[in-house]
Amino acid sequence: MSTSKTVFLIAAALLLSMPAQMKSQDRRERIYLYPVLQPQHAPKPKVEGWALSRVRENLNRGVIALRAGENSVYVGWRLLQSDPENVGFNVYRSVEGGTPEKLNERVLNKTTDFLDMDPADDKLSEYWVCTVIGNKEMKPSERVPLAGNREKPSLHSVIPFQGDYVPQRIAIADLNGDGTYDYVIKQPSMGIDPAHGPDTTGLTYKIEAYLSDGTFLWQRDLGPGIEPGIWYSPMIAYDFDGDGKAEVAAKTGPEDAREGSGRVLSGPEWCSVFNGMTGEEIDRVDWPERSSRYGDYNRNSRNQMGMAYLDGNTPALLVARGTYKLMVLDAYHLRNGKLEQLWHWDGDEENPVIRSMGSHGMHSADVDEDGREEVILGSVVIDDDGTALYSTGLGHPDKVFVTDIDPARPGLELFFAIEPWRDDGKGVCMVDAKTGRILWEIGHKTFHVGDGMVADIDPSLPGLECFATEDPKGGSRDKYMFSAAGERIGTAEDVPGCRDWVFWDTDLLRETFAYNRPSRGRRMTREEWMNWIPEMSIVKYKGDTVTSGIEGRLLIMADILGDWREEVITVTRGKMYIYTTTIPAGDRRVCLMQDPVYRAEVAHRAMGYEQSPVTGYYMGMDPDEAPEHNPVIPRHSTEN
Amino acid sequence: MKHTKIISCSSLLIIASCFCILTIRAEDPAWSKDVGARLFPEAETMYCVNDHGVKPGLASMTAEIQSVIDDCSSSGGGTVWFKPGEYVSGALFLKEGVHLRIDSGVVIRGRMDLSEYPDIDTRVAGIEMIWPAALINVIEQRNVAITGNGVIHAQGRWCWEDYWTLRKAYEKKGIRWAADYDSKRVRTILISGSSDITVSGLTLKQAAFWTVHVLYSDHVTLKGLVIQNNIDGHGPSTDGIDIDSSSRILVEECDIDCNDDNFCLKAGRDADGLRVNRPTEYVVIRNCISRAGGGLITFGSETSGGIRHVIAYNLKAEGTTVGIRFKSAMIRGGTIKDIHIHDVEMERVGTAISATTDWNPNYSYPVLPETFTEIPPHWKVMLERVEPPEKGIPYFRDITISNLVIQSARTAIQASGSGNSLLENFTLENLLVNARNPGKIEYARNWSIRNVRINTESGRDVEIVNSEGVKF
Repeated sequence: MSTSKTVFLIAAALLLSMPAQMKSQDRRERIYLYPVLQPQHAPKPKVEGWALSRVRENLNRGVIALRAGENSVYVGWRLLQSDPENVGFNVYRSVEGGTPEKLNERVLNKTTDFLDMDPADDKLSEYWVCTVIGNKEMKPSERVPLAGNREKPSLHSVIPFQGDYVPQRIAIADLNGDGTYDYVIKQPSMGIDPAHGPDTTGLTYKIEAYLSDGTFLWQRDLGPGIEPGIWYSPMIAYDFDGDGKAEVAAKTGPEDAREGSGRVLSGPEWCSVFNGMTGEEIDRVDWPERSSRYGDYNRNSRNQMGMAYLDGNTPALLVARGTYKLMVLDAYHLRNGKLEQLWHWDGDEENPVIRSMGSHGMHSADVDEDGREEVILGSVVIDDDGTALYSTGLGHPDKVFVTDIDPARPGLELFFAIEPWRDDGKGVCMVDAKTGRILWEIGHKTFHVGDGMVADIDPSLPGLECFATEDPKGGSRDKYMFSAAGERIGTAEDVPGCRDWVFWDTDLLRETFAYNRPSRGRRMTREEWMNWIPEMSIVKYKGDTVTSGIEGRLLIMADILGDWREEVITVTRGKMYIYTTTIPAGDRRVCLMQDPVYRAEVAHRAMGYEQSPVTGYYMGMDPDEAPEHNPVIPRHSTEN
Repeated sequence: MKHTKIISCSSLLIIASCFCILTIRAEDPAWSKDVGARLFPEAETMYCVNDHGVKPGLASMTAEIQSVIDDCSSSGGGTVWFKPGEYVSGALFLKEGVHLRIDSGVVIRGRMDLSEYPDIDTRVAGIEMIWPAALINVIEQRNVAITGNGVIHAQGRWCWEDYWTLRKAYEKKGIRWAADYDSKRVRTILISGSSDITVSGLTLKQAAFWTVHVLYSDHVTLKGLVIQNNIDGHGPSTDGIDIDSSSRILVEECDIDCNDDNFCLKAGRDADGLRVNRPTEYVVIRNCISRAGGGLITFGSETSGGIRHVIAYNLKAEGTTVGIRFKSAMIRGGTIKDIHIHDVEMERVGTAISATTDWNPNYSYPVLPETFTEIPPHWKVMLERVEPPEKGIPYFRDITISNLVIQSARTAIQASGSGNSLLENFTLENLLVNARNPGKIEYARNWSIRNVRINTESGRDVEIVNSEGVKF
């Protein structure tokens, strides 16, 4: 073998990757890569919201009843935070409007699901549950009709859209206040990145709202003022005014803003809040204005939205501009139909200046344990009062996770996958979320770490496993995997894909997806890609296929219905599919959506880079309770 | 997927029979029957590690597996085995009477940091020094076996990175020679100071450094090993099998794809190697394949204790950099002699036959730049002068290479001794070589060359310089 040939190829690959590298990694911005663990800034007052106690979504039981197999019906429902510890449940069924039958013999208190092994064939059946507290049956839940079909046992429902488009993002929120989650989509899926050329087709995005049963509520065109692309068009849905019905917020602009080139370079930009039931605009405020301090058009065109309980009680709407250089963040409360600004954070007002720390997503969590939530913008964390809590100085992370990765140490941790090359060994690291102190780091040069994930995938190790992959744009294809304690535990083929992970079966290990690929070994054409209907399986890391036959493109995973296991929403042209597990649970857990960190993760998945939501507490196995024998079955492809 | 391990000899015979003269080889000497392990652990007690707290997964199970091995050995021996699954471990130390069985479906993965590879007294690349233990160690034991069709994946790539970083830094400081010793890396299997040891059937992947190191041992059998080190890249010093100052060794049916010498015989280097003065002798290597790597069969470069009485046959090189390779340096000393290599086929090799007494000077001749004042003990050992200098001259002689078919090579033969160490009494017999360049022989004496055909593109003959009694 010829070493010189190899060296040449590597050199050629590096040269070829330079332009892409330069585009995403601007060397001039590296001057901002210094930590600011104790920032100096003028104090700001604490946020005092209108809510006296935490505003919570008024969730119902989320009952589902699905044909699980030949002769059984799977019934699942939520355990709610408000349920007393000793709560139990009875399951009821009524066939064709007849007398309710109680299906269980003993009160169900181990899990919040039940298998009806003697269903009433194809007759119209309805299911519901009643809470039981100390032998006393309390009020019944909502009733739901039997859903699903035997051929596709985990398909809960299909919601057709108004046309044959594929949505780009989805927001999950209760629009009508009935306690069941509804859906807001933004479509179509195609869009441009501000780093590349403008859209010249005149494409505009539409936001559409659907109730849980598929009822179409409204459509709103964002108009030519918003270029089509994820970074121009953030949206979020949440009940910001606490009336029990979610609003939808999005970036908007005037109709006549688009220039002949397809660009929007000037004119007003707004943050609008719409009524979730009607789509009417409730209020609008100015978006943080363009500035040469951000850098060029590309750097100016990075917009995000979010949600956090800055005072611990009142949901605040967050509006952000800037990722790679200047970064600003505005916070608002929605009160009496008006957006009231709480504070404005500008990284240039910190001492020293904090810039270039943004990620492609936003996270909310009370990292300093004062009962008020912080906003994790990337390598910088903004305290609840609109001042920087700290900046790790690591630079722009492509991915950040905030959760309790290592239950052996107190508090939350952050896991970073850092895009800019770093030769100080900190390009993949875990950080104490409270202080920004690095707990462990990869220890060698990284080039462009482009993806990451934390999940318990191995039962023998305590804590969540942390994994990350290099983006080939940086010149490396390395993959890394670490234990929560920072031990290197895997490389290359052992490192699973970072993208999509779901709690689907009975245990606390997270599962991922395997895809069929129609064109193995070559890139799909654009047309093939658009028409491709993936068929996915849910698989365990180096383990069994848990469920197969999930059709469509994955849009989101979240605990939307049933017990604590997550639902999977996929889309094909013109349709949305909601899949849920019918594997009987082994235990019961409070609905994940009632965890503040998880709820914000799901809300933020309506914009930015998609990542699998994580909880604000440790969600993984205790190695001492791990199964004794875990045979290795040939690996599944988890490429995506 | 395993490569085919046994070479069909028929093609060799057919081609060889085309030659006008067919010599009859002398019978193999009596010592060739007394190689390899004479004992195998016979105790029937079975120890399933999974019954003793060992779990598959990514968590390290070093202590748990070691305690089963210790129990097994202290209770009179037996078989230690794993249920199917992937397990992570640091250094394990096998003991007398233990048969470690790694069956198909079992993968033992090396832990990726040094904390569970304790430092031990050992010899690395010819110098006795303190280094991390291997992943699987057999140290001062008798009657131990490691068998099964499973996999030991050393996950050694993290060590490669460490070496490259260190070497770059050392090259700047003018101490490139120390990089190989200062970058502590983990061998996959170490058999040291032991007798009657068998290693068979396993697939060994991605070594951090040498894969199987047989040191100061005798009566060792290595059989049916598949070594695949070029996984996720090409690591430095990932030799296949190194037989180091050891005797009565049998290597057969092995298949090695690596990024340094494939099958390699060594005997210490420079002053330290001459002090130890232990030869590698009585070695049979047969029915083996080398793929990528530095040498199908390499003698040296650590030659201090001498390498002698070696028979190697039915070998095949596919895409290996060098086929048959002798290398040493002028401060290394020792003699390579009584070597018999026959029935070898090579395809797509760089150099078919190579010999040099002055190999890789930057690595071979340590010089300390003046800027260094305090230096580690092993540097002192490496820097020790060989006195008198004549003691450091290596000799290669009495080497027979016969029945060689080389389908394609860049160079047929590149052999250079030196003015004070001529390559002496080489026999080349029944060689058919297709090569781009014929190559060169210098400082050689009394070669017996019979029935050698070298076909080259240029039609040129082998260049012979400063030699006497060397004629094609």
